[in-house]
Amino acid sequence: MNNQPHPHDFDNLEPPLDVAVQAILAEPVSDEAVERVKTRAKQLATKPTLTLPRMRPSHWREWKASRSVLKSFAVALALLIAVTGVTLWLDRSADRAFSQVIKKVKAAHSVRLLTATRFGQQPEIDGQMYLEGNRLRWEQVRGLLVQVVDLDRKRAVFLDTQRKLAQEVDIDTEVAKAFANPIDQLRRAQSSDAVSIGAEILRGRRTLVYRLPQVDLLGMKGSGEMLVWVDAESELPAQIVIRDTDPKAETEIRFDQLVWNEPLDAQLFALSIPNGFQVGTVVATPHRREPQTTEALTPNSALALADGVLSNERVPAHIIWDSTGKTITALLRDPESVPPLERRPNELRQWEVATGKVQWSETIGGAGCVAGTANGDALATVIGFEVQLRSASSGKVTRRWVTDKPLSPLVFSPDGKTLAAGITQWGPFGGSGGKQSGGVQFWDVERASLIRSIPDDKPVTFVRYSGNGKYLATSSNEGPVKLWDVATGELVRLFPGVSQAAFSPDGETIACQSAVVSADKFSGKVDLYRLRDGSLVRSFVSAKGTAASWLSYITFSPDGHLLAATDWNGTVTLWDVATGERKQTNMDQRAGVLTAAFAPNGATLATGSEDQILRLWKISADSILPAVETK
Amino acid sequence: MIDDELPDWDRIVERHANRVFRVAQRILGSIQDAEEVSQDVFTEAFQMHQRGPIQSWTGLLVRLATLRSIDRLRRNRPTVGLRESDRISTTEPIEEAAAKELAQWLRKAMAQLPDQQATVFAMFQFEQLSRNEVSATLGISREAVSTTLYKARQRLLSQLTVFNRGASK
Repeated sequence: MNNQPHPHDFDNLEPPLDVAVQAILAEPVSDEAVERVKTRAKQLATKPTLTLPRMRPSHWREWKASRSVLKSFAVALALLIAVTGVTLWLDRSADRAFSQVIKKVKAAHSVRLLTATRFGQQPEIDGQMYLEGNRLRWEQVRGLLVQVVDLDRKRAVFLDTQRKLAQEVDIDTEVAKAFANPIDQLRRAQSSDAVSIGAEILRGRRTLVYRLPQVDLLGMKGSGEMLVWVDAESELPAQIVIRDTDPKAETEIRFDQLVWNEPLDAQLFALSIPNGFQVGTVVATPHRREPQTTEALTPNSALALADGVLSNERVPAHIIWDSTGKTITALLRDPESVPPLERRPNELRQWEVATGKVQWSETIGGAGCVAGTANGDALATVIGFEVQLRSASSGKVTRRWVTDKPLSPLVFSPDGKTLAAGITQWGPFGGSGGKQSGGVQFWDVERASLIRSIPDDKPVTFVRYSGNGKYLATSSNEGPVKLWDVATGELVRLFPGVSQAAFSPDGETIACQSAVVSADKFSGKVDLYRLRDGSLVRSFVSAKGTAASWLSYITFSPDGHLLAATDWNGTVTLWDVATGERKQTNMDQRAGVLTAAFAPNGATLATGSEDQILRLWKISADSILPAVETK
Repeated sequence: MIDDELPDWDRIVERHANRVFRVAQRILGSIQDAEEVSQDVFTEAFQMHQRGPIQSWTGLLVRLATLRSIDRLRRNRPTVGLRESDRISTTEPIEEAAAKELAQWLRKAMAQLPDQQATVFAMFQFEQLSRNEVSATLGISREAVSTTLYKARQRLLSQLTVFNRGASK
């Protein structure tokens, strides 16, 4: 009924009426009048009587209005303050008032404050900062990452308090400038740049708010603006916000609850390595776009062939770097050798990377997988039902035991005490028929005893431990990726991935080969999920290859900045984890790439492909963190 | 958007100011009047915004702008009724009369229409909303929109006819 035209529905007006309507429609609308309407309408929201009770302290978004509104807001506030008899700052220009602030800041000898850093949709990173002279200490991520910087001595120490790692860093002037040190920004500020934009009651104290345009934000030159809340009495900043003026960027650092001129413990700024800390590369993953990492991967950081070909006679199917990055151990097989019908037995070989010299070589029969401990002492291989532990320095079997289930993928727990093996029981007709089964067996390496067994309904073709050893990820060729709690054997979560997965070094996320393929199936996709809630963080898509894509291996760089994936269609792709941007794609290889492994320092990537070549690729600028050799 | 804070207000103003002003100007034919009405409309909308969430800003503002403009149109012309001086020159055919004069005539004629007819006519002809949009904005049925529109036209046409001897449909 409703859809039928109404008897009176006709849209063409009778000619004289139409002429009248058209004449009205043709009248120009005055833009100036519209602007006047806008300005007045916006003032509705800034009338002091309406807004002051509604204003929340330290809620900077109140200020994002346009310049004209801010002006009117300031006028409204000035009126209000004048009415209430407070004429504190009316007799001063912003310039003079602010030069006093800069003077006071320069004279101050110390300050401590809270920081909150936010990039787009990512959760805020809270921290605490201490400043004394040109020395700075910044504790972030619940104190897990500590940065101590001495700008005079051009030295810094980064501490990973969870893993007890310390990294000593030389800082040049550029890096020093990039440090988001609001006080330094203030010292360098010109008082004439400051625009007074109003006043606000902050934690019960009256503050005057100034804006400084074109402040360096996180190393981005002049793209930010700084808002400074100055305590009216002490004339020292009580809160500072540096943010990107582009609201879409949603990038800001907030410096809050500044406490000035309080004596600070000198120990806070000690540049020595604390007791119990080891020298290593401090992973700064949670702060990926903060100052010290903004220059990560310059555009010319080509994935260039560095040391070239390490081996070119058998197919490297699995690559393991030792913990120092000096040797590579690889499982080599022949191109035709598809288990279980090997023509020639597989081989385990170790090279010295610097010289390319073969250290040792061992025949390992039909073993299709090799695992290494994190400390680089031991290796493990499995052939059918037999597990073999080997010395990493000689390749010789140190221990062997037999299981009741056919095992294939292997992985050591991070502490090296447990060996997890995926049960890969294809049906009587291989993968194509009969009953398949799978699961995981956890073996105590020292006693060769079975600790726990987890059953699963599909052959487990992939196992990997999370960095802290708390979780084990398993997968089968058709997925899904399952996350198990190692301590309880409980299935924690399922991720819609297939075949391959990798934990990020910070243990927050897992990257899985996506079960969804592109329409032409020629480009691969990796999905990054948050472990905590299983939410999808972002997807990484590879460039279109020359053949259908099937990702054979996924791995994170040790600092967590990069994600690498190798593909059966011959491509090797590197992505920037923080942005999802594709950094490098290499499609030179005609044959499928089977595996990849980052050197412990992250500067080299080793890949193994079906064309029987083990290649080493140099990653020239994987991180701004100066490369500290972990020796 | 449904938020008890105000930062979105500026965005609302930015997005809708042009339209509100345009509605007012088309009905009123005067920049000064349109500005004043626009200001009243935003003030009223802002007060409603503070009292509770607004479902559709476009709907609210277009409705307010139309209603307040028509109110104003009527107030501006307390002596409703078209006088002889309002006549369009009859020495030439109505189609050739200056468009401006026709526009002035239409505004005066609209001021004589009942509220609902004037409102529906303005939304439909000036803002070129569809019947469904007019119906949603004013909260009346689609049939009522069609009928009202028809009546408005008939009335306007009859006035046009009265004041143009010899010019019949």
